[in-house]
Amino acid sequence: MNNISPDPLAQLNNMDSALSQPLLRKTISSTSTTSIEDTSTTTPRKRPPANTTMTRLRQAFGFSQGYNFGLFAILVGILMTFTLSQFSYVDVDGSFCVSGDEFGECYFDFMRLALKIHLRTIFPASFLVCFQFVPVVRRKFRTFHRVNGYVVLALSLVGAVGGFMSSRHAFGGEVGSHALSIVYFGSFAGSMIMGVINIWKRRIELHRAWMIRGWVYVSPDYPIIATSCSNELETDHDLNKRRAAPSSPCGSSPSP
Amino acid sequence: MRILTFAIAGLITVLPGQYYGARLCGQIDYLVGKNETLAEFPECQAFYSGLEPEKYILIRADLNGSKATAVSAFGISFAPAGFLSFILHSAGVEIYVSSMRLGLFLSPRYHF
Repeated sequence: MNNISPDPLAQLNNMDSALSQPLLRKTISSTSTTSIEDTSTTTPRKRPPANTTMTRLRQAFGFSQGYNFGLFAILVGILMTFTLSQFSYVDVDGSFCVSGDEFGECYFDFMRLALKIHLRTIFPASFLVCFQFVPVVRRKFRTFHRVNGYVVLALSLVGAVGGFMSSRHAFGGEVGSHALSIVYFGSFAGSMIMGVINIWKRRIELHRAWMIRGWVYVSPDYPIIATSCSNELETDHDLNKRRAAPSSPCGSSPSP
Repeated sequence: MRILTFAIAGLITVLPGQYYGARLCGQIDYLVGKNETLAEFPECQAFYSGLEPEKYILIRADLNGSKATAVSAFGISFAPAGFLSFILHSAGVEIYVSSMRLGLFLSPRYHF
């Protein structure tokens, strides 16, 4: 995966527009339309007009490819929704251990310390990192992208250490959880280090690939806290099951 | 991970063998209170009398039982669900990242 373009600026501008193969793309579309015209023979079929609202929204974010915008909307949307809906948990003693702790983890003082480190850093980081994936921000506000990137890097690495500490008692604190947190911490920190090294060497595509990898590797962690009761991700199936068995972990009513 | 945790917890609930997790009596007391702890786990009397402050009890993994058994079920299914979802996510991101350079994600022109 060597760099082809020697100029990083040109590479940055070409990044989302997928201009690597413009001629190829044009030939594909032209051949496909001609084949359609050949089959229908009489009326040349025009391409249907694009969905203007979606296109305008997509261009406002700076995406030129539809699937890129779709992936962005789903993945970053989930991250942003989760972050904003659970943001009150940065107050560990006042909020998380009162309403969010369904597994009795706040019983341990070490767990409280680890959760304080983890939640107070990872929530601001996961809020700020959403702006790193917006192409308009990357192109027009490059200083913001750089400064915000270092802030997110520092916050999220401290938060990863806190998350690693919290695995001592998380979900019962079994050895499997320790192994899991080692894998998560190692892959995330390694990806972040690779991304930073690559941007120092101005390899922008590799930087982007490693940063996407790092944040997707830890993305299974997003809904961990959301296992608690009152959140918008809850399905009807869960609700019905809970009504049938009111003493399940999220049921607030005491078991008989 | 949340989906997989629920799936594995439900699976070990309905599987014929019983799965057990160990918890501190103090943690169960923190979770559900003294009366319920004593009603469900009489062994925790040693914890309340101060005889064994570090008393551990075995809790069956059962989503349909009490709060303690459901917590045990989630605790057992946490690590396998985490590993499974890590594998799935890393495979998915490699599919995207490997095709990102040419801008050919999900395109028939791209050959893995």
